Amino acid sequence: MNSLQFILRGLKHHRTGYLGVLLGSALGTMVLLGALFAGDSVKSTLRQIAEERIGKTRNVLVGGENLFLAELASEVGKDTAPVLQIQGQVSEPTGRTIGQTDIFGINERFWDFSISSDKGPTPRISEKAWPINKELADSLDLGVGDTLIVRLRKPSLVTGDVPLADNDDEIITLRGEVSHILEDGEMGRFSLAQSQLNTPKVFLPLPALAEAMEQLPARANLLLSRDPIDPATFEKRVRSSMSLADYGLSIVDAPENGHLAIRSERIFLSPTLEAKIRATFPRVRPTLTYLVNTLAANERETPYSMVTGADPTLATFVPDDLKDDEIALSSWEAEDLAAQPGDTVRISYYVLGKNNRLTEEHAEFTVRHIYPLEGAAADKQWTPDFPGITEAETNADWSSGLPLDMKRIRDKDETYWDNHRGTPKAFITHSAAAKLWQNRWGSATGLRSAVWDIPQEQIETKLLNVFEPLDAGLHTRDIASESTAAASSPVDIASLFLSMSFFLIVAAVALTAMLFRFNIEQRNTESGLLTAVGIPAKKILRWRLGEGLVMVTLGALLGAVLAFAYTRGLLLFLEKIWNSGGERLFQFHASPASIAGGVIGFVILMMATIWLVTRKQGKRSASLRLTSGSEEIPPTSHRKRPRLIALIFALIGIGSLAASSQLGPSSAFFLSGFCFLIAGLALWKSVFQLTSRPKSSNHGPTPEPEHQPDRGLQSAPPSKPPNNAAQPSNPSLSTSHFSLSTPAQLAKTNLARRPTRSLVAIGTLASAIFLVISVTSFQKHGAGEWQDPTSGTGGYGVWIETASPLIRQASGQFEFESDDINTLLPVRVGTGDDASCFNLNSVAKPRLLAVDTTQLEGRFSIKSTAEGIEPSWAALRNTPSPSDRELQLAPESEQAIPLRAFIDETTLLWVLKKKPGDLIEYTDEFGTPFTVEIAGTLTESVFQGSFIIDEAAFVKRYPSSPGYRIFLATTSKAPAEARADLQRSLTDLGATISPTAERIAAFHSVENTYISIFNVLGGLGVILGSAGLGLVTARNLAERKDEFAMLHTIGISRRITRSIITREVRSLILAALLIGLIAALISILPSLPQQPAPGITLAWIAGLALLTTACATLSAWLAYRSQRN
Amino acid sequence: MISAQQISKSYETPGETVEVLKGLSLELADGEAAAITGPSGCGKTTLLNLLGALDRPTSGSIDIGGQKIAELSDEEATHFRNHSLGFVFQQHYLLPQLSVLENVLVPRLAGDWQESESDTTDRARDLLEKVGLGHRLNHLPWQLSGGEKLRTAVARALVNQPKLVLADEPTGSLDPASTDTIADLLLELNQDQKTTLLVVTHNHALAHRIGRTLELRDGALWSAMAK
Repeated sequence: MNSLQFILRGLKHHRTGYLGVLLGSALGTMVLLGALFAGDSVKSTLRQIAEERIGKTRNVLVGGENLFLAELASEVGKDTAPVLQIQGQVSEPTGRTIGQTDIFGINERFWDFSISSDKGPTPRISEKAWPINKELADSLDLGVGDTLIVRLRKPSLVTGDVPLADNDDEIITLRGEVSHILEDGEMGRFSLAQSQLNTPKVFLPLPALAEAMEQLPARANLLLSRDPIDPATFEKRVRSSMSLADYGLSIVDAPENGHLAIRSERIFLSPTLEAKIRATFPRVRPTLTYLVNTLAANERETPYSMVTGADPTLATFVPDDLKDDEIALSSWEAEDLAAQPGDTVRISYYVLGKNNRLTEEHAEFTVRHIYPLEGAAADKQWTPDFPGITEAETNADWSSGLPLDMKRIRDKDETYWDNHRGTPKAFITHSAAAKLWQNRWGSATGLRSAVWDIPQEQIETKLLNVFEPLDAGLHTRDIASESTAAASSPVDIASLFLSMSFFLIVAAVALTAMLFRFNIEQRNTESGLLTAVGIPAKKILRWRLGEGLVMVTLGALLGAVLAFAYTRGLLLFLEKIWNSGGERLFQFHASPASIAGGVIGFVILMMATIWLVTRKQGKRSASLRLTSGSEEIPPTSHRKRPRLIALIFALIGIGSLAASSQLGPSSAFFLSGFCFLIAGLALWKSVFQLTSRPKSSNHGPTPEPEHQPDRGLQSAPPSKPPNNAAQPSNPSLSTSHFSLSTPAQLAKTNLARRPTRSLVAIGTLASAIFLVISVTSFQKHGAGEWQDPTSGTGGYGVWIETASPLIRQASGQFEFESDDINTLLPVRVGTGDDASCFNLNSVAKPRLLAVDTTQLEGRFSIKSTAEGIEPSWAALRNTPSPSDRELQLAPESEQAIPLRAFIDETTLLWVLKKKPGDLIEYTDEFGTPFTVEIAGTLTESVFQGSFIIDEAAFVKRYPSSPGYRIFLATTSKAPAEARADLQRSLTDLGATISPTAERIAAFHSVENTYISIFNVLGGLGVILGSAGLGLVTARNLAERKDEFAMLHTIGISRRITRSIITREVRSLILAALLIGLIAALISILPSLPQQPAPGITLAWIAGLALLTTACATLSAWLAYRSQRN
Repeated sequence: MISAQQISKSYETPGETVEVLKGLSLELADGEAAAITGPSGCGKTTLLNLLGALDRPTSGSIDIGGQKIAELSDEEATHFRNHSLGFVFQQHYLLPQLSVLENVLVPRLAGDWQESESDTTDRARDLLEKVGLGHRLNHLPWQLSGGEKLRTAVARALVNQPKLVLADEPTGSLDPASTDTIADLLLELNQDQKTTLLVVTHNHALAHRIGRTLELRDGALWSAMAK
């Protein structure tokens, strides 16, 4: 027989005892692997979603609001596709509608980007037959052949809030049928947003969409490339392929002046483009033509006229020395006003004021010159193409974003329009015009010159050599790399579950080690015998560890199998957070590394623990082991140590609570809880050491057991007198100086008889109680205090999100505003991704939300701020305070000032993992990098996942920002009622409306789900702790069968022995409850008053205490029953 | 064979020092047999543990077969027990998972035996034959009577062909017939193999059969004849 055979024989013989070790190991491994598998599954799912989301796209040119010609894609290469992405809403014929739907205009090349493009025919798409994704199909119960109606706001080449932009009648409706329902792998998930959340999508042929929008040739705002080239090469190709039209520019001939003029489709030439053009062609001069409401003089007025600011070098018909306060009138205008040189002309015009409100301003000029309306002065090209105006047949047909009173139009105005269209009626200097009408989009509506030095066809080439895509607001993105980087959860799910399962794993390890030790103790005699016959102690220890290794490994393998089912359960929990319904989001995945690492890791952990608890056994003398049997022989040295430990840990616990502001509430809570638990357990040990000790003795404490071989089963070392009688087998009864007159006293001494196993059982149960109670106290309970302006809702009742950006009407109000809305906070949505807890992906740049921060004073709670920043919304307005006319472009130096932002504390801590004062780099509309400084944090706000910045600073960096897409409103009606009303009035805008309290509750639900998982794992811990208590009871009873028989034999009734057992078990349960409860209560005490429902928390605690008592009692009773039988 | 000089064994306790053996001396020649008697708790087992290198004396020296066992390291003491000593306990301490034959072979598990396994096994069989258990080789301990278990334990103590056998009340729990069998076996071993034999016993008949009897009293050995 060799060692292996000996080990196997031992395992076979003690298989019942080892069953617990096997099951404990299986449980521990299952929990450990479950955490790792959950992490694997989330990672794998995110990777898969990322792949499906972008398909084969490698690089992408993103225009956003800036459109380029769709044919640019063909110019860039064959592995490209143009896409026009806009948001709208989709209805089915019965009226059911879904807003915030992605509407894509695509061509056939788009399908080449699908990861399943090689697997079959491409989805059918035609003018009236459109593929939709499953999300949309499920939302509206649509199937192939069903009719759907798409409503979208026509994308404008001109930013909506540019004065003079045409904002009316922009919504177009298209009707078609579903041709195909796209699976996720068929581009049904296509999106550049780094999120696992899918949105409804419908795909229309780009040419048909362009025609419906009356925007031919077709334009796009995305250019996808699947060519495996690096981003720099892609950008180079894009740049070399772009035309002036892609920059929104055109060169027009003004034959009346002999000028060539460069104009922008966006009315104003961007300062970047203007600067580059002027640097390339120094002779060109800017012109600025503006629609003025009134030209008035001599008590006469002319309504709605174009006035141009141009240098006399261009407008050769005005005096060369025209001053900034002088005006030259056309003969038509001079006649209309009966004006003569020297007269004062007052002009009135609209400008965009604070909060994008139009305000009418005035300026006065002296008439310097009257020129005839002919030749160069009659050049219609002085005026750029104003959408809604230029193409109008009559004055009355004008459709402008300005509040025009068309009743003011006279017949002579119509005649002028018929004859001269938008030809300016007056000229001022460009510098004067710029002072009046310069805005964030620029200060020129044209650049022109009579002398260009090169032929017209070469002008474009020369300009394209200096232009870059960013000049037109077109960004290239290495979307493949971005998606790969983002496809990792900011919260490491594996680590999260490991931390949440930590206690359960420790409990499983502790109980398993305890069971293993039971076996070792039970085989003390065997070990003693082996030592006595000359087997080295180390070898015996190795055999024991070998047995342990076999059982732990088998248990771990069993646990690995169970982990597959367990993980599926965990993933179901996670689905509650991130899946809005429909198919399962998470795909189970277990990597070989996790399986091997988990199993091996647990086996090592378990074996290390087993080694720790058994190594001392090997050091005991053979004679001692031969005689002690299964009795635990606790060291009697260091009797004061438990009290010292209790004191030290209690002090550390108090210290961590006191330092909770430095440590952070969570760390302080867990550290203090852990310390109080250890202190409680140490105190318990100390108390029972005292009670088990002889109260008074002539002999002092029990001799050192290591040197007391004859304790227990054999004779004790002789005390005085030496001829004492043989000792009874129960050490608790072995001291004549004990007063054992009641069962309670005997129960007490018995408790201290095997302190380690009692301690493990109590510790496990107490820790479980602590964990469940304390974590439950963190449960979030809705947002019932939503009316409070300092709450997370800011006092706003309703959150409105529209499919398309909205701008204020001429009245200064938004089109959906009604009397029911008391206050409205419009929010601009900028670049970045949603970093709220609903997004599983890593977000490096949270979405920018720009608001008028003056409206937020006194609202929301600013929790903390970076050093030197006051906790006030004013802190965000670190750039010069916007005047009523925020028309000044940001000076260059201002770009260097970090843009301050507040962000929800949860996002900062868990997603960004940053702190106030940190900086994050963004790129503005023109490709210029700027930094956002995290100025402070908000407490649990509706803005979770986004940076809140000041609107004035935002629009300087993103002048093309098209308007507002989010609105927070206070309403006269209750939010739920207001939602229904708003839903009706916002139907055409594809808006989603939700009470802010619901939004906060949704964020809370994520944390609550984590807490639920914690509770379930903690609950398992309670069960495990109860089971441990049952095991300890059963083991104690089994080992004391002879003792009870002896008591019975000497006339002690079963009632009394039952009473002894009951008292022992009750003491253990009580100790666990007290230690767990006290540790939890002390730890949560500081936060209890802030609990929204402390009563619920306390009721929960009481309920859990009862449940634990019941569980543990039942477990012990079962153990008693099994042993009695 | 055994030369124990002035050995003392005491236990330190916080309150006092309990002295179990007080300058005890013992001489036992090669092949000699002796019995030690004395009241319970007088230190007989402690003495045997010291002689068997299971424990160390507080003072004094113990020389067994030329080896000063009190000075041996734990490893050397273990090796000494495995190769030179046979221990018979009052309790049989058989390993329940092993058969009778395997229990006898347990000392071989130390792993450093030069002898081949088959030779040891043959000798174990012979020993079991001798103690009347030749028909019980593959039985498990629970299938044996108390006397059979003890005889198995005696066979185990002899399987390494020890020069010295220490027996701690080997017949304490046996009926007279079984006591005789064990006594016969031990004495036969002593006479045939010239194995030195030291038996702690309360059984005066057994002590009488062994011959030289020493009484342990007040921490010292007294010749029984001098009593």
